[in-house]
Amino acid sequence: MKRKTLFILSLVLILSFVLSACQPASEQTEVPEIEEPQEEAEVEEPEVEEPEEEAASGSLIVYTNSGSGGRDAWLIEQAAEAGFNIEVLEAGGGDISNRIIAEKENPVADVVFGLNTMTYATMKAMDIFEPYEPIWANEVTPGLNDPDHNYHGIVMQAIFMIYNSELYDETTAPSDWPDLWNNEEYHGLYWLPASLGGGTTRTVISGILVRHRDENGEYGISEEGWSEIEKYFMYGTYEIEGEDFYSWLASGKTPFGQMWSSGIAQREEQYGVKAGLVGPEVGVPYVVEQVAILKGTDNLQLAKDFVDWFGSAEFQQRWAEEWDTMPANTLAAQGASENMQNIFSNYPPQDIDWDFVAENIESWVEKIELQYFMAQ
Amino acid sequence: MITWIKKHITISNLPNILIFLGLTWYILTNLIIPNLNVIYTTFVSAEGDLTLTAVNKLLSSPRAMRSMRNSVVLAISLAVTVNIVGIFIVLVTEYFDIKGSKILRLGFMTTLIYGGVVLVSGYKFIYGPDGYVNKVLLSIFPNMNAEWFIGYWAVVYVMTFAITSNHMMFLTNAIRNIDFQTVEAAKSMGASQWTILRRVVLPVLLPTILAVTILVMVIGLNATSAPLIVGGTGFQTISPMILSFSRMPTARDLAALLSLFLGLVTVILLTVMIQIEKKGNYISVSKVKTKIVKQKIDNKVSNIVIHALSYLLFLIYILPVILITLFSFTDSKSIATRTLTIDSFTLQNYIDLFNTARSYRPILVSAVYSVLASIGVVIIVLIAVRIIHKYKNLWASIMEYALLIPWMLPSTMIAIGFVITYDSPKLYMFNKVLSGTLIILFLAYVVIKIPFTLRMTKAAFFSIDFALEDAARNLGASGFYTFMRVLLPIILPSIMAVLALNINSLLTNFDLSVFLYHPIYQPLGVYIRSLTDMQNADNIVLTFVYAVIVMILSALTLFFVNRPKGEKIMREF
Amino acid sequence: MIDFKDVEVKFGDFVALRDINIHVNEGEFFTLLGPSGCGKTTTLRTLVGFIKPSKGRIYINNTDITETPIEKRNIAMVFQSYALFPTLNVYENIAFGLKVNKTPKTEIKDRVLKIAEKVELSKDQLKKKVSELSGGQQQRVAIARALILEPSILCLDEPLSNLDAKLRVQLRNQLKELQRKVGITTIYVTHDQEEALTLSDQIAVFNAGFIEQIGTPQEIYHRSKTEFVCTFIGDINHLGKDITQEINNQTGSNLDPTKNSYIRTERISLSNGESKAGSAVFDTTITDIEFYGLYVKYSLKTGQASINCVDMESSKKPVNIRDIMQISIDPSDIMQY
Repeated sequence: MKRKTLFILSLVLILSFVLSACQPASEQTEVPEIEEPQEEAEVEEPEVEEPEEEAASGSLIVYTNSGSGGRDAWLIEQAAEAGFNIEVLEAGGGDISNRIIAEKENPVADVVFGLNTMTYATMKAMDIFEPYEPIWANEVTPGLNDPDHNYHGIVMQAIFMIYNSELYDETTAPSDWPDLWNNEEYHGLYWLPASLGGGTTRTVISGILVRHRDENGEYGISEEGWSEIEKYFMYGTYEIEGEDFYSWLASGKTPFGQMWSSGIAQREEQYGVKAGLVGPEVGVPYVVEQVAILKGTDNLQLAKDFVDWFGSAEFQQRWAEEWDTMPANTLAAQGASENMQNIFSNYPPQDIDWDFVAENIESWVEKIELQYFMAQ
Repeated sequence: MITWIKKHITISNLPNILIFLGLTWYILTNLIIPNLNVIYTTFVSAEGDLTLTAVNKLLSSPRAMRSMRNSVVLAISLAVTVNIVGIFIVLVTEYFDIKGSKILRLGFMTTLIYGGVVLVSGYKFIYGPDGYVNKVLLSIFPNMNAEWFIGYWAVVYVMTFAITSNHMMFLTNAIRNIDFQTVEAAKSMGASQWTILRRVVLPVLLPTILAVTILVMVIGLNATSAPLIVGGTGFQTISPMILSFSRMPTARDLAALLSLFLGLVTVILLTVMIQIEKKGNYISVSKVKTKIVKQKIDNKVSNIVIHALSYLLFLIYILPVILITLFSFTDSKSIATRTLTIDSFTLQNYIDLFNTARSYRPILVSAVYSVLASIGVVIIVLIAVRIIHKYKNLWASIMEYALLIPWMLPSTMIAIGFVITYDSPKLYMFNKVLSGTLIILFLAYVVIKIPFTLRMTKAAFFSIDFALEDAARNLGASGFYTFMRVLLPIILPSIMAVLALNINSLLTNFDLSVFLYHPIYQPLGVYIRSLTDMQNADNIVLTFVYAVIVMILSALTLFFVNRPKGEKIMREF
Repeated sequence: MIDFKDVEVKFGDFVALRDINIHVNEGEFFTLLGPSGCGKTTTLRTLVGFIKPSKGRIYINNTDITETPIEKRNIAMVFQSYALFPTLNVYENIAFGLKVNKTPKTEIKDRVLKIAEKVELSKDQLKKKVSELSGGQQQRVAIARALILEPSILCLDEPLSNLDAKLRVQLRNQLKELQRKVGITTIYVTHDQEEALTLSDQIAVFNAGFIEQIGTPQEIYHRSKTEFVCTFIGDINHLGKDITQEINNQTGSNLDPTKNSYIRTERISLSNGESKAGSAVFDTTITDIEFYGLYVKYSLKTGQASINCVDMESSKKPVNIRDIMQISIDPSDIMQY
């Protein structure tokens, strides 16, 4: 028996050592203890936790949906140069917000950035953020920050319908979303997402539905609006898990689809196809990516310092240069590419009541999932 | 009452009482409360009223109805196709005299070392629009639709080959236990090979075949990866829908309801299985069993046809494994064009992977989690089985049923149960918040592996001669000593096999992990999935590299535990 | 040495044993005999301590051991399946009990070797896996394992039942010899009357949870106290009313024809014309002949009644089926219930 206990003990010790060794040496910090369940008997907890004092000067965990395509690695590198030790968890917008909500009582992340204003509004109502006014707050385009300083704008995204410019031009491409389903020649040629969890997809849905606002309609949308969205999800070609929209755009399988403004340049280069932008008369939905500090962080001061640095005109300019974004920080706007500047001056925003959207978006998505999604 | 307590609670049985309390606490907090919470949220509105909104929503959703139908259709289809292929491969490796059957067997066993997203991606790589098979077909039929590998048939095809692993494990054993004298007797009475197979061999295998069929149907019902990747819009099933609803906090009631539907069908199927088991296997009446002698197929034409079919199947099984392995050593260009040249081979992918912590960390994380959780589940199940075995009372059977709960719920729902229960401090969890900790994924891994482990361990345990325990007690050994020295060593080989299967299946778990993982410790399944989500050539290479590593790890695990040596090493401790 | 006083065992509502009163003397070979399900194994397991009686007491050397835990009773048991631990080798199996009570290693070795010699297990065999041994060898390991703790009582639960016939007889004799050599009080459970008769000093015959008769083999066989014992032991003929009446008529004995009458097959003589005084004579037709070498067994018919008898002189002149054979029955051999 003694040998058996010894065996289990040593196994646990070895394995937890391996686990702690997984961490880059520089950031041996708040590793949550690996607790064995009761049943594993009196095995002593392996001590993998570093002293608290060190943790305070240690590292930050950052959640974002805007870390794909290498942004996360680049950010980690840049932050390290600025003296910040960070871990980035990148996942879809829906997953990130669900995770933050689930971890409300025991936040893992210190800072979140990306997503969009309506998600932040929902989370603010749940008292998830630590109010803090960053030093650069006043430099942000007016109206984008939270007046209560829960979150502050960093990047503006325009959510476009794009087309393959080798196959279509301004005259042959649709001029607005409804053309896709109302004009039979586009049927089957536009891309539809395989999941409705993403922020971009939800913005597109909102952009279509808010045009049919009707206080008496189901979830505030008129019957006509629902019939429009039904057709949208009826006549496109659905994404296949594991295949990329841009490769379909390039191959002509689906020459039309949704894209966020800062994602275009990198993909044009990668796939060698130039995207045409559709500018509907009602305008293009703009979303604002924000940054916020989570309530309950162990590293509040560090988080504040990080936010001060991350949203600063200086860094946002570099971010804009590297990733072709449109900074919300007016002083950083010069970092945006000419192309990006043109986009934001040539394609005015669609007028969307985001409070109305935030209130209803979950119900809309649920209804679409049940009634219209993949109903072909 | 007090006298009762005095009588039953003494110093000497204090350890027993503690184990009893511990196990009760575990079952309540890990198996019952979280899952009840899920059901509660389905039928009770935020205001605390009983509500059927979710039911109505689903009933009026054509998509939900279609998905349910598809899941059932898939389960039934697989019951047929998997049995055809499964019985065939077991017969050609164990019963008929087929040349090279050892190599064939290795090929058929590949499904034991990989599955899920990796397997489906592998098949798609071969049969998809740019795949090899398609290239060949297109060169013969230039006008055919290149995107044929999608929808119902594609799902059935992939899954048919993916889940014959149960046949390989259970049916192989059953066929080896056939009393060969019955075959010889039938032969001496002039029965043809076909008649012997149909009237003598298959009837003996029938209970096993039925049990395996039920398992296959349960797997079919819960299919996620295959419908997601090759189902297209035409053949979506319930599990992916549960996955997407459960990722929307407001639609979790729908996810829970769909899960309950799956759970209900699963319970019905499992009840059938238990009934079949109760009827009992045909235990050979003969005391002097003869080992099976492989049957040469007399009819020349049949012999050739069966040989050809065997090798065709072998090819189907082995092709994804070989191509995944080969392409994992190439660059993204080779992948994109599906061309293999000598100079495109490189070790760079592997070197890169093991040089960047970010890339190899998911492997370590999953390995550690899988091993720890598998050991945890074995310990819990051993304690439980010991109690079930020793005290055949009401409490013991309630406990047994409680431990089978995870079989009725898809792992997605179990994850959500944990999330919504332990995202705030609960007295019965020592006021600790579990979400966002490392331990929550560990607990959930343990939970989902309990039913399978319980069934296997129970079977092993109940086959032990009862007299052994009496004998040990008679010789003065305590219950614990008897358990450790006598009973455990006997069932250790079975336990180790279960341990290996558990480790292998947890290694790439996605459904559950995605809800519970700690952001710094991203498990392999989640990481691989994020690669396949954005499938450019670079990611395919990486996926394949991970796939190869997973296959090697799985094969090593199986090898280690199935060898007598492995058993001996464990016994040394 | 062992005393059962009014022992009763209940499983739920089912009374498995009732009114069990047994006295076993020191060094005695005591057999519990009966058909399966009669309670003989339950009695043994109650003695060993696996089962707690619901009523009554059990004494060993006048000490009440009813509440004593198994390991403190100093009773060894050999199981029907032998219950050898398959993952341990022969040596480890035998040493198990000593290891449990933490006997020093050298002492364990000495004692294992000594006991192995006593049960005739070679040193080579000690290193083997138990599955590599023959049935007889396994039995000896089981006995060695039981005896090594030097118990005051040895309990054997049908130890010969999974051996083939010839080996059974051979081992039966070895068992008896060993018991005499060791001189240990032995309680033996069997359903085989031949085993019981050949081995035992005393036999308790069980039926449906209670004891029908306790006695020496001779008493049990010749002076069966109950109809059950009489029919359960040995080969027996049930004589119908007509035959009983006929015997009364021929010999003037006063058997009660309304009672059940029995006579052992070997007590029926083949009279061949000459009739013993005081015996009744019947003419019978041979319906079957079984030749056993040592003796011949005849199935006979007289009127409607069937009778079996044996002829010890198998070498006598041959007879055929349907031949007429004369038999004689001594009324004093008839047992009535």
